[in-house]
Amino acid sequence: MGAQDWSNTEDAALAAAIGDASQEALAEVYNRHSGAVHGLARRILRDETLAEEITQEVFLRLWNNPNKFDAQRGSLRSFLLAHTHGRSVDLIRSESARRTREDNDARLATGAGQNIEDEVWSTALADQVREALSALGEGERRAIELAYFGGHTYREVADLLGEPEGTVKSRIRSGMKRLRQSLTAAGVTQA
Amino acid sequence: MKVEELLGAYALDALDEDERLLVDRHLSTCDSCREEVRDHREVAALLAPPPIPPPDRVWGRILAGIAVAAPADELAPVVPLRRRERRFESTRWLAGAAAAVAVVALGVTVVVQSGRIGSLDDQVTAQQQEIAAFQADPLRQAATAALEDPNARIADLTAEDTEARMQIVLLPDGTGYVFENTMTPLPDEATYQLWALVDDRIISAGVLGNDPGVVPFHLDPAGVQGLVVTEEVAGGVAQSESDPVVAWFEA
Ligand SMILES: [Zn+2]
Repeated sequence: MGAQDWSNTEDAALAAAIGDASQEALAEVYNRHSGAVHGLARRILRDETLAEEITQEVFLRLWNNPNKFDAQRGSLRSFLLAHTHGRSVDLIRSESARRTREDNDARLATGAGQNIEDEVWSTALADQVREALSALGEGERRAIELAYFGGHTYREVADLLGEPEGTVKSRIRSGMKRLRQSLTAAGVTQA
Repeated sequence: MKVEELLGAYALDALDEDERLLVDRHLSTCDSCREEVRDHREVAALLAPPPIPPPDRVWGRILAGIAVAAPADELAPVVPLRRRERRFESTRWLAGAAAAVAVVALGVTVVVQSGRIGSLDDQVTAQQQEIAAFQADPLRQAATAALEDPNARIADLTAEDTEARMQIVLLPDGTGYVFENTMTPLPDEATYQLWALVDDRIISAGVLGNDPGVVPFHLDPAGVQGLVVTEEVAGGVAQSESDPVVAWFEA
């Protein structure tokens, strides 16, 4: 076919090629990141059909609006996952998804079942992420879990945990900063 | 309240609408807060759960969404998920193709089912219907319109010894759609793949996914003597060693 081999091309260059309407570049980005996108959507929504719709939407949006991705402002992966998260949260906040979410909350709030540390997948990177998580205070970790996986606003998290809104708000921020510091120290993220 | 205090919750989509707008406005003028949000999002991306590869039909629908958005004459060929040499000289079953002609029934029965992609309809949330209406229906409409095109070639692919069948419509400009079918859904690790018999060669015409609904593809109709669907590993293969699941050959 004389086609370019995209498999060694960096994400940023693939995104640029998508801007030039290369379906093969989109296919490569899909190969690399659709599992993460779909996994995150399914984790939040707990519904395969909705997760597939979100996955489809995330990649179609990348195709239709490639300029929304700015390589100067972070990785393509985090861009795609941020969109996945935002759209999944939009859905789960709607009335129709409430019941699923209540099931979710029950597990998260009681700490039963899997927690965030178990969810991080098993690679060397995952070990470092797990270690960073274990350095968080219980309150920070719980607040981040309920916001990130439960799709809750920090006000709702405060309600669920019976803690002041201001406390939860600052715990989310300090927890995220602390995670970043640990991961930077471990060489995972850059300072 | 300082807007900076909201940045962690903002990055995790954990703000109410009014606060989110407040942060949005601030970010448009503040580099350091934008950097902080970027950092939070990079960290959040590391917390994401284990990847779950979506079933092949999702890629099919993405291609469909692209195809529907494009003008008909720019309809792009199906890009297989893993790029492979798509053209080859012969396969094990090519030899059997001629023999198969004799037993393959031909027909142009149009059965418009409301099933397949319509399985979304069974699930009654407003979002699903909204998304289904947005993503699935234009494709279905395009396929239905193609079916009604007087210049369309309609192929009913059938099986020798099962009830499986698949209807395919192909327009003179090469726009094709897999339309109605009664194929058994495959596990996620597998996919149906469409092949065309052209000038006695077998060409891959598209990877259809493990549970194909309406799937667009592109195939120059000139010289097409037959269409065959095989079952392959997810992502598709360059050369098929598999027996046809359904097939159609020109009379
Ligand atoms: Zn600022």
